[in-house]
Amino acid sequence: MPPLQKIVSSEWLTQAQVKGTAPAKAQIAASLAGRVRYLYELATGEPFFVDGPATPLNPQGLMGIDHSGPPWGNAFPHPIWTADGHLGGSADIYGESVVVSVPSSSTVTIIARFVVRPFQLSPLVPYSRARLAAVGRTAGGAAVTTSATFRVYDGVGTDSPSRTTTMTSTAGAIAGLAGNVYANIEWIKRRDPEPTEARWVTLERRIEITETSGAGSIDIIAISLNQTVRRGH
Amino acid sequence: MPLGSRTREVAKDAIITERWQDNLRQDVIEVQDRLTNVNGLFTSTTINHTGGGRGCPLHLPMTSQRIGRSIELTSTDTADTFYILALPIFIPAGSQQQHILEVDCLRRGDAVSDAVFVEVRNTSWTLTAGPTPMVTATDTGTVSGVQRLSLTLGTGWQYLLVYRRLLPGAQTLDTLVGWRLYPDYAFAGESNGLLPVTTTAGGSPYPALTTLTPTTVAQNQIGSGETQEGVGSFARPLNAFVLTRINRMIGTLWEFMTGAPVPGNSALTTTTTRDLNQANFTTEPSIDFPIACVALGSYPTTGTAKGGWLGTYGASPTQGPTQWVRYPLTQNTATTINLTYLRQWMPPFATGASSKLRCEILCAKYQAADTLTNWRFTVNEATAGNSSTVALTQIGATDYFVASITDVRFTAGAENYFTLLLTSTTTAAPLTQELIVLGFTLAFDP
Repeated sequence: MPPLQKIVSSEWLTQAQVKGTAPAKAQIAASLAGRVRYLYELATGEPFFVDGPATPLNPQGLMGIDHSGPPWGNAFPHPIWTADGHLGGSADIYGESVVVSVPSSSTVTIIARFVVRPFQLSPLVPYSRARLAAVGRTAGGAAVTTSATFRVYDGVGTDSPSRTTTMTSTAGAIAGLAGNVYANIEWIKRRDPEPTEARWVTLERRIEITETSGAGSIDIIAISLNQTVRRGH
Repeated sequence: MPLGSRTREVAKDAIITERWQDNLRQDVIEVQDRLTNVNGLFTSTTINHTGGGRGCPLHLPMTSQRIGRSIELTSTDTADTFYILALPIFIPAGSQQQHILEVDCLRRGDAVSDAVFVEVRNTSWTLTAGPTPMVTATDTGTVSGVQRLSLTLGTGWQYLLVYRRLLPGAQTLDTLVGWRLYPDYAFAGESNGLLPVTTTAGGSPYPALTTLTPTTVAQNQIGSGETQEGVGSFARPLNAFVLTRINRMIGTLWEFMTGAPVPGNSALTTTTTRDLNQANFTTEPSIDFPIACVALGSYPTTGTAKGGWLGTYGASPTQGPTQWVRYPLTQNTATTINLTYLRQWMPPFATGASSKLRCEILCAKYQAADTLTNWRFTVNEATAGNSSTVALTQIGATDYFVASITDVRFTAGAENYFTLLLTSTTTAAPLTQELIVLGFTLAFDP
């Protein structure tokens, strides 16, 4: 039971309970006052009263909404892993290169290493996946149509793969992914943290890229994994 | 403005007064106005996630960049020390705390050469932390040489520099695999009891308004006239009109803020959730939000004093870490150089001319006489277009220069395709302004 010196009610009221002919109950007052207190604390990240908070800590261990996904606020899309690149072969700049070039009818694997911030882990959590974004084109921009399929594995071993999506560079034009492909992600707390080291495990996801046209190589110019919003349940 | 109804005012057998009702109304107004700023009642304390009562800091990871470049020197070089990472970073307000830096570079079994050091410098290039040696991590996944350091970073723009003694290529297979920078989160639970509601048990089908708009957030929408102290008598009865409005408004605010449905409805009733794009609420707060930090190349720790570390500038390098350095090969008013490309999903924040997306690019000169006055940087997004074009500013009297672009265009809530562009206001052959590009950071910095 919550201590009586605090208003902690977050019990919800139906409209029928507060309509004109509804009987007056202390529950109405407690619910309305308590829910506003919840809202205030979630918004500001500070206790409503000086005698302590009523709301639980968020997944990162602090008070308030941190936009890490419902019910802790809409999760804003943001990159969690990035590989920048270039079209390659430029005579104007030294040091540029494509992220990776996938030979015709071949498969290349990239390991993505990243850390995600804590979020609520449950079957309905919308923030538990990362969306792949990439652009590419036929190697060197040659007027040949090539395609690549992208697949993300849960780990670097033989874990289950994601669905696939395809990129097609028509006659050497720059192309993006044609569909969505997601990696499952989680945040992992070290079980035996050492004082001098981080307490979060770096995740690794295997991104497998296969050239499928057999007509030529395809260059990946830029690629990233991004935590994305998926609102609702 | 009174804040909160006290326990005795809402407990069983309490005398429910008009004051309680007015407290409630004003509490709701405060929450919704600090979130949306519609009525301008709390302009200096809106929720912008900077902590200290202005919302929980988001503590997003700053970056995880894959590099995958050799950092070997040429076989004829002698061992020397280079910044293998040198770039601006942006730490959001309210996030001044411990951060974890991880650099994935293969180990060589040589204790001296394996040591990696970190410096942090402020915008005046004054050293604010380090040099601090990194620690070889043990939980390294597929990379054998992860270096890790916990460091305290202040907020705002600053420079991160990581250096290492590099060896000639014939002796090593030295590779910079990638790096990461992220907040050191406190130990937390997971949901800690705040859960998305998934049942449809009980309740009205109208626990929340269908949308939250400036109109519904207006103060008079929740009964100021019916409850305002001094207007009615102290003994004025409870007003069901006000209570039903407030009940629905609380449900609306819950869905708006949490993104989760209120109990009684498994579906979200409110169509608007808090996305901070100033579309529904034009004076809504903007927030600091990191996007990506991208290192582009190395630079000698001795700066221009080293001289000739590439061989002949303007041609492919014959000395130094030839696979991890970036500089223009042409200087021509007719040429736009595409420095690098990024593909990212972007948050739903305000776009166009009011975009708060900023890009800072760190560069250095090749030799002491270089002024770099004629180079210009632009950020292009394939759909949204070009930012303004910006010149470099020397950082004090150092070898380093920065370009600050404050109006980077982007497309909200979609995949974006950014290109960092470099142009020159002069045509010069051979090059007279010998520019080394080190790295850049994209971040929302309102």
